Amino acid sequence: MPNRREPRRPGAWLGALLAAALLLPLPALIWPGMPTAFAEDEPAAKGGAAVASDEPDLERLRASVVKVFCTSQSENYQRPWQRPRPQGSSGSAFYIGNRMLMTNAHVISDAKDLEVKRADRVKRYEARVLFAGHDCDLAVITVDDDEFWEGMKPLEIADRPAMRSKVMTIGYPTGGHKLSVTEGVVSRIEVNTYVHSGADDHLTIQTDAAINPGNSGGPVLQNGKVCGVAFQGRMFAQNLGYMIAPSVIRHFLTDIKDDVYHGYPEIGIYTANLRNETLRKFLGMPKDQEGGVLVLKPMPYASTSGKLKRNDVILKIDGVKIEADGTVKVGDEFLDFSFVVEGKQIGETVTLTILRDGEIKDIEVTLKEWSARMKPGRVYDERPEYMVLGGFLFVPLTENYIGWGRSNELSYYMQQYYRTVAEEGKSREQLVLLSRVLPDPSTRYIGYGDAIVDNVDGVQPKDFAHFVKLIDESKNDLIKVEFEGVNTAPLILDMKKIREVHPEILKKNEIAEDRYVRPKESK
Amino acid sequence: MRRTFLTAALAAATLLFAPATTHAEDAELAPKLRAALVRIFVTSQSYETSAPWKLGRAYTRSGRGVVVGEGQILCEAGLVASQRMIELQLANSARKYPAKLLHVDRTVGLALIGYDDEHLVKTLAPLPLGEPVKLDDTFDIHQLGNDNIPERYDARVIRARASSSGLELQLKTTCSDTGNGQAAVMGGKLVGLLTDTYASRQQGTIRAIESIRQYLDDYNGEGPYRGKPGPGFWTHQLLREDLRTYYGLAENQHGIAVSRVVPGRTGDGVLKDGDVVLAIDGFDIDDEGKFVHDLHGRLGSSYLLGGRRLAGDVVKMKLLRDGVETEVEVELKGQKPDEKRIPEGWGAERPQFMVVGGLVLLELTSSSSISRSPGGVLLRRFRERANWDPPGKRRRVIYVDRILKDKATKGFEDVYHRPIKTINGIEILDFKSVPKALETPEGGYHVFRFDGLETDIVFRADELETINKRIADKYKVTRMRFLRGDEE
Repeated sequence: MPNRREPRRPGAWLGALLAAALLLPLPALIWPGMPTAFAEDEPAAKGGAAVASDEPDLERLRASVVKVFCTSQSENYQRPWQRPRPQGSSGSAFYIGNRMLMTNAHVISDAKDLEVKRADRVKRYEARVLFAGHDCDLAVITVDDDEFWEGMKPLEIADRPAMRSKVMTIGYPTGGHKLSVTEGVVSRIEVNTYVHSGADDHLTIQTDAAINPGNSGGPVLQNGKVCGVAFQGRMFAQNLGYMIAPSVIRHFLTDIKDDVYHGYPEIGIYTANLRNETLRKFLGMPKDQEGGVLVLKPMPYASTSGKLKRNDVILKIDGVKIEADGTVKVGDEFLDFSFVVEGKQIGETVTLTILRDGEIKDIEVTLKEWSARMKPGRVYDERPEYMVLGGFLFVPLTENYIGWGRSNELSYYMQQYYRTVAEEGKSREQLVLLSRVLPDPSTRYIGYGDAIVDNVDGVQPKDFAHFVKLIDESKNDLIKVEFEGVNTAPLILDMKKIREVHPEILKKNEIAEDRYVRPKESK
Repeated sequence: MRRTFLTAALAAATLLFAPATTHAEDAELAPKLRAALVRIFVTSQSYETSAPWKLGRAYTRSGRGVVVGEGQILCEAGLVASQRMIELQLANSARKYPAKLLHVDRTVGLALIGYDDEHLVKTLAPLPLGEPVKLDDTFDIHQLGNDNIPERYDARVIRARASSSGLELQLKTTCSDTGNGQAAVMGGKLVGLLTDTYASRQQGTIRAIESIRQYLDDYNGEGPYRGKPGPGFWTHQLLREDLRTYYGLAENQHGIAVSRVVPGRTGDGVLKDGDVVLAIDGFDIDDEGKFVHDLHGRLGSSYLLGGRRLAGDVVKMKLLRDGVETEVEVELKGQKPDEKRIPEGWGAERPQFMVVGGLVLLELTSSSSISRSPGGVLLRRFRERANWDPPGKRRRVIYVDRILKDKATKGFEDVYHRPIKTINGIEILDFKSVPKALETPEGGYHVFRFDGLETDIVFRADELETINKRIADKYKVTRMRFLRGDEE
């Protein structure tokens, strides 16, 4: 596996894709082909074993840790005008006060119908999503029925648990219908990829307490307080479960205080390690200067764009020393230096102490949100953009389009594009594809799909919206679309003919809307 | 003495028990075939791709060939790849005789093997070359089978397929052995060389006699070997009505559009982007880029430009340019192996390489196996676009295949398949420019820069020799470099 720490983000896609094949988010999926059925719990039975005084009261947990029933319908990026069939899945959630239940974003993403059920009640209550953070796989849902909240006591968020300390996972994992409790210890603390988006790295805590599909969104407790949210597992491994760290939970809760979830800011740097002594000397680093990471490139449209340049060395971040392998010391742990930025919200600043041309100086960076078009990773609860033009389907190239964990030529191309070609203000923010052609006499002899558009009558589209605009506003009867690559013939769009066949093709393919173009970000 | 005797006895026995032939002319043909068919044993050995200073394991494979001229045996090019030793066996005999490679053309897919052993010179005699065979013609496939006993199979032509490297005919045949140099014979003359069989479908492929004859004439003709034209311009089909409208084709006009003329290659200076090729050498080209051959039916137009031509030939083209039909002459340019931006890399020759400071430097070839790492993606792109980009300044792509771990390469453990852009600020255009660039360190350092987004790799200039020595000792690198022109 490549060193995932260099470079960061888009460069880490390959790593993320590899990880996606191994790490699995854990909603108890009712796999396609199996009947979608949620068996009812038995009515709650009173009693139970006695619990130690520092252990949570099981009766209380039976009220505060609930099962989530979600019927979701994701998007079909290959045929974006229609949706695949709904799927049922279940997960766990817990009460955090203020009529808010916390769960994983992947438990409720693309939800069309959402219900929750307490372990001590028979009735299922209708729920709705308040906030979903797909970059940190956390969400908050609520129930409008007052009755649901009766006797519920919020669970408190604790501090990061220590290594080897005992933890307890509570939830509704596969294998039964009742509340399940498992125990284990904290076995590793590390910054890891959150596979829900596939492109975000945050702090995770690994435990040997069993975490299985259905545990997702359930609390991991220590001394009766929440020290993590169970969220993903790993294939081909045993006794490895992952939970979201308390710092990430707090970040999410702070973020939503203004009633909007903004997400994590992005420092946006491709870096490399500085373990090589000769390279350090070559860069003019003093002999007694330890640690530091090497800047390869600030990412276009990112917070550090225009502020850092190639071969700058970042020595400290907010005054905390960065080691030669790119980690910072947090407590007893060495964590990826991005951890320092993790605690911050969009708009906050971070101070980077850098070495440039032999001089040490401080640079203040205001942390920005990702440019929506440049942000890698999968998105949820969003309609795919597309345009059907006669028998031609055009779409923007996104990771959702490429598909979960797939690594084909398109994904390598995309990775390479963002990594080496993309430059702020100069290159495209989004790549546009001729996805496929729909069967019709007017699309005869088109033997290719997934062709990346190079230009429309000589103009390179900046993004998908720009592409649509170029087509819409063209006054030419014949529009020439050229593609990247050697063997793809240009496409001549005979607009007169396309207008003629367009309604018929929509009808034949049952396409209700011939396009969806997301309105520009309002900023 | 005793062995020869035994062989002769065996051969006599075999002859005695050979099945009765069905064709009347077989009795006459049999001795001719026995004198023309050979079994070829090729022992090959190539250098290890990941440790180019080391020779890999030697292995022997066998194929077949046909004597086509005095001291010339025709066989398939793939058979002699990486060859170090060639031996021959004759019909009804187990004895091996030495032979040597005369010539190989990988584009054409044919090779010639020579011999001067007295017995071979006396025993072997060429099979005459026949006339072209066409669809539905039937003939025989002859080979030396097990124990080198001559065997005969039926064959019938079912399809012709042409490319820029020549003409192939697909057969229905009862021959189920691996297709590799068997002789297709009609009327006692050679009409093709079997290159492939699909036993489950009872099909096979032969190189047509037209291509064989052209190859032999080129090799035996006066003057240097010309070979096939190199890659030229790019075209695309004009099947779609809107494309035809765009290119201004009338109802009765058909052809393919020129989409890119690569500077310095065939068509440069004569053809233009947007030209439509209507006819080549008097053959009308259809909208799919095919033409109708008198004998073989519909074939791809690349046959007219390369398949039936040699480098240096001139073809006549009828073009539609800006709505007007014009005639032009286009010289088909050749491409010598050393002009190729991505050379073939499957010979037995020692590959060019350098080990510098623990970096293993290789030249990108068509057979380099390249990963999907970020640098690997770039290398693949170089390779895919080799015939697309003009043959610019960067003649060859030199890349770091991997590193040998050492304290000098600490921190660069992930370096893998990275194309080198500059060394010490000097552009790396081919392997020769590497040692040259290393002569002028940058402020006491050797600085390697890469294509794409990668960290620079640096060595102290005064330490490089020590590092090289340490690496050589540690990893038993018996040779630190081989560049063309170096002593073998």
